[in-house]
Amino acid sequence: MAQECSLQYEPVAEIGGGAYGTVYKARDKESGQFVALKSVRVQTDQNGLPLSTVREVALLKRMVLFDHPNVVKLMDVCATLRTDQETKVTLVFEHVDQDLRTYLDKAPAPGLPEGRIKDLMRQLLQGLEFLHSHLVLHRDLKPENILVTSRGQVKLADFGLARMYNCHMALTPVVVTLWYRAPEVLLQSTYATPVDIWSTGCIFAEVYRRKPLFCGESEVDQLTKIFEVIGLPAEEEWPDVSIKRDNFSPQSPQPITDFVPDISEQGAALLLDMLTFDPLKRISAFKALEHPFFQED
Amino acid sequence: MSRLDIAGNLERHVVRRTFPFLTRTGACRNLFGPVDHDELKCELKSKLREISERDQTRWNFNFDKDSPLPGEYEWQEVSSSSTPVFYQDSIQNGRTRIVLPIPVTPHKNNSATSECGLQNALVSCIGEKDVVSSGSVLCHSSESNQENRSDTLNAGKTESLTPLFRRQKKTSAPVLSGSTSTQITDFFSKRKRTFESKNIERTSQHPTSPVPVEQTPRKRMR
Repeated sequence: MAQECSLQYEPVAEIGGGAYGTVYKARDKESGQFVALKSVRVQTDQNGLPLSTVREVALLKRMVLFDHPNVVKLMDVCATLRTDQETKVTLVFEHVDQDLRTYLDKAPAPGLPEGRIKDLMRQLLQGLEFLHSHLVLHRDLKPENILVTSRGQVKLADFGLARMYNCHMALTPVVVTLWYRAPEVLLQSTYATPVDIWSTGCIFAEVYRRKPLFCGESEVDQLTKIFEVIGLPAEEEWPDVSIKRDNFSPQSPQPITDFVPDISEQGAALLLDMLTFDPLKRISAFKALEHPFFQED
Repeated sequence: MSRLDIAGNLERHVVRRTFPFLTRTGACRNLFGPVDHDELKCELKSKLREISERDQTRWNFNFDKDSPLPGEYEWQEVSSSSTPVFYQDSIQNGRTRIVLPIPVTPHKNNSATSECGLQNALVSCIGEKDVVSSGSVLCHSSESNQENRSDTLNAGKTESLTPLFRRQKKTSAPVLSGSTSTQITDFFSKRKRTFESKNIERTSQHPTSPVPVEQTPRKRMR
């Protein structure tokens, strides 16, 4: 067993020994702005860089042209040929010091004031609305992928080519977090832009709570935890998937304020619109921005 | 009338059979002369080198060796713990991402959950020599894809895999110690098609007749 262990752990150690563990960042002497490098090692076959990667790069570059304030700025894409099996693509991004996870960790005891939450959520939704209007799904929205600048500006990161698991994360269960995953994804049904709204809802609750809302350990556990709050959906809402509704015990919806006590009435209404089981009935980013929650005061 | 139908079908059948042949000769014309693949490859490589050099100058950074060069940008290497997770390096293999915490279903192609994706990621992280050994240990189950599995889908947890992930959970992430927790695949109905039956199915189709069964009698009529 020990032998087996060393055999399987060795490679992991080598990752740590390499470039992994550090990030290159730089300051532009002229503008004073910071940039950071994120390199993605793309595995190639005899046909070279996979077409999907080429498309992803093209997409990322196109998104840059719009220069949306709530999407992390990609400054350049630099490719270097490593071997015939691997091409290293280095993405040069603007550098932001912290993500929403650290931001929330740092927030003082009573939590963020609702005005601040409103501002964060509005920016998040604006970034998302921009992506969705360009038919880009984020698919893995979580506090780690939402950067918050020192001036409190929200920037979405980690979509497209940038969204790839890294070595470290691939080996720890933490990374494959299911906590923000929409029910339709957990059920392996078809999915579209509403998945990002679900994640936004989870994040919305977390901004108040300063701890995640649904912390499932497996897909089924995640779904169970979701249904404990929103209730077991009706049979007609259940998608045509191999995981059947009767695998879950009947639950009635619980008041959301039991889980997010500090939320205002309008906030709670919006949150429920986001945490709607049926993706077709879930609120869109565009509609969410028009919600009374953002209009009041 | 039925006669006419048959005649029409036959005619169509003949057309269908000859049609690809005719087009093939037509499209095979070489319009631009022979391609010197080596020359092309060489040109593309030098173009890429040119682009890389331009990148290197623009950012005063050697992207190949990951080393800063003197210039406009003041580079510094910072610990990844002090910077958002987002900036950490990653590996891309096809379009795959990890979906299941414990890999269960190996997909050979570009489908979503990918045990193999993880393993390839592992493998590609490691470098050259160890790849062969550890790769073969980890990836041996990927030889048969999900379709022709004879046992339940959870059989993906092979002996060589389980300890790796269990141990990971116990040591590095006590939060997620639910290694015995239910898997999503537990809820899938068992596949009835077994490896054997599928094989039989495949071989039972006559290899020389790609024509669907219903058309076979017509063919005989010719």
